[in-house]
Amino acid sequence: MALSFTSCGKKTTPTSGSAIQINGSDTMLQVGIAWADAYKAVNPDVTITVNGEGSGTGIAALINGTIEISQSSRALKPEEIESIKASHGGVAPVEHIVGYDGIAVFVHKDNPVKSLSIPQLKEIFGEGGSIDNWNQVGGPDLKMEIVGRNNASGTYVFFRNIVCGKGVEFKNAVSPMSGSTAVVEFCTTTPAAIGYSGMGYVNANVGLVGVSKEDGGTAYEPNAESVGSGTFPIARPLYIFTVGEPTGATKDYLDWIKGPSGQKVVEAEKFVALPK
Amino acid sequence: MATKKTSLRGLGAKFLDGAEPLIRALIYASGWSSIVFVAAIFFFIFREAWPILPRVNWGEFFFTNDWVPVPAEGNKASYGAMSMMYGTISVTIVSMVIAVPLGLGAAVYISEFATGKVKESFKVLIELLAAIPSIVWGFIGLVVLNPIIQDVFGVAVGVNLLNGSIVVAFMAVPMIVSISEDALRAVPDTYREAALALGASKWQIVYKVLFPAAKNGLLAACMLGVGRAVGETMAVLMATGNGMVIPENFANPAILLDKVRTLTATIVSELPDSVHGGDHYRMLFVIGIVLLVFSVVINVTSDIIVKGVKGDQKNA
Repeated sequence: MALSFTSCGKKTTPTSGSAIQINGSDTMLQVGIAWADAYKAVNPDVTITVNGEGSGTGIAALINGTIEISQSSRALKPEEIESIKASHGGVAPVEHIVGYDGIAVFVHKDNPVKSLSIPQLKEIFGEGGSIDNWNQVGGPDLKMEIVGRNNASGTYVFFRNIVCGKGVEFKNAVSPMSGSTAVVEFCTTTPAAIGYSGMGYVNANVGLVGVSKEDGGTAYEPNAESVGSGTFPIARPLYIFTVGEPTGATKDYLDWIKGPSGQKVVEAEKFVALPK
Repeated sequence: MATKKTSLRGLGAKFLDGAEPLIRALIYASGWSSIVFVAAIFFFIFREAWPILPRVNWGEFFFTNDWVPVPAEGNKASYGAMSMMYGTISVTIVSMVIAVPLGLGAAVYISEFATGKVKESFKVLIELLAAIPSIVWGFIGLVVLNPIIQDVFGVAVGVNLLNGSIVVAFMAVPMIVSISEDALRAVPDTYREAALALGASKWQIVYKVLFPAAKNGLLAACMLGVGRAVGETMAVLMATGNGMVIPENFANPAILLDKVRTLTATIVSELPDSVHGGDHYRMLFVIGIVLLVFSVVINVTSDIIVKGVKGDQKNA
């Protein structure tokens, strides 16, 4: 779960900020590694270490001051903002949006169901929902096997907010998997599966359903166009947090991420770039 | 040459004499370190859970099944861990049902029946089995056992209680084998010879003489296996399917094919995403306390059983 990647530059006299430590979201681990790798060519003097132990862990590391940048798939919570201020002499965290992510709804490749509406997804995932068999949404007579991310992940919270709405939890039948890859793997091997995860994890062996806002509305698959234009209903920002406005090497790195080269990496990692 | 050697040896001996207090201190320190480590683990886990302990709704924690640490807007967080306790207990029981006969059988074979090269190669292979990392076992559950269980039982999902228990059983077997084998080997040969002289068959020797004589060691082996099953994390996370549902009918063998989620799997998957120092984070440490209590109870019980067995033997 916690892959680590180190991009080692030439050894130079260490000045403040010539090494950047990054930790945070599991969803953003791949793009974080790709940024660090590409940045090596731009500025080989900066050593960047990327970990993806979870949004909460990244923010905790920011609070403890062990990292410069925390990647997150969810916004900061008020108590986290307070903790950062408390441990950094009143300096508040700064939120940078560095791209967008659509949350894809995965099924088995052979599943004939090609689209679902948000109200249908609510009946499938939400507590008290009435859909638990594929034949209720035009598929075969097969009991659904519903999976998701762990009960505290940013993806879990975001998907629930959009799909189930205010005050509705997931059903207990939604099994939390160990990570995004595990969700996709489960949907690849299980004919009755339905699950959700970041669109960066889409591959050719898994099925994808289009999602429409309303019953009978136009369904969109998550891609650069549908997420960028806001027509795909389950999209969210990807965040980077720093303590105060970044300076030195961290500032250069963040500017590069938000610039054309960094945004190209975002697209290559199957996320959606910032509007130009 | 000879004189030089002697003088060198003398020098070494002198150095060792001088260093004896130091070496003694080192040995004492390593002995005490294990106690210090255990105390430190208790201290750390309790310190992290402490602030929430007075506020934990224990009825909800033990007897309800809604684990919603990050609730939807307008709802209150709930921490019902009953399904996870069911998960841990069921994986432990089922895996021991598989591992204990397998482990004891293998130990008896290696210690009493196998000879020469076969015996040596079995011992090496079983040590090798113990060295396989748990994540690899989890992968075997996910990739190898999953489709087999799907085909054999005709179920949609092959990661479930049965899969996780088989994986954990295989992880516990090497430990059970090597400790049981030691226990059986420790039984003096005079016992075997006496039984043979009385006309006992090999099987009769094993089960009428060796098992009673090696009771303590065999029990200790099984208890360590139980401890392994309770604490196993990565493999069960991958192989049990993580369903948070409690079966309605425990007598129905189909519950073996239900997805279960263990206490350990919950900690390892949620801790990274939790708000550090928040209620959810602390509740995960409360789960840690429950696991600690589990293992203390297992250890104390096995101690009492082993002592009881000892007493019996003395009286007999």
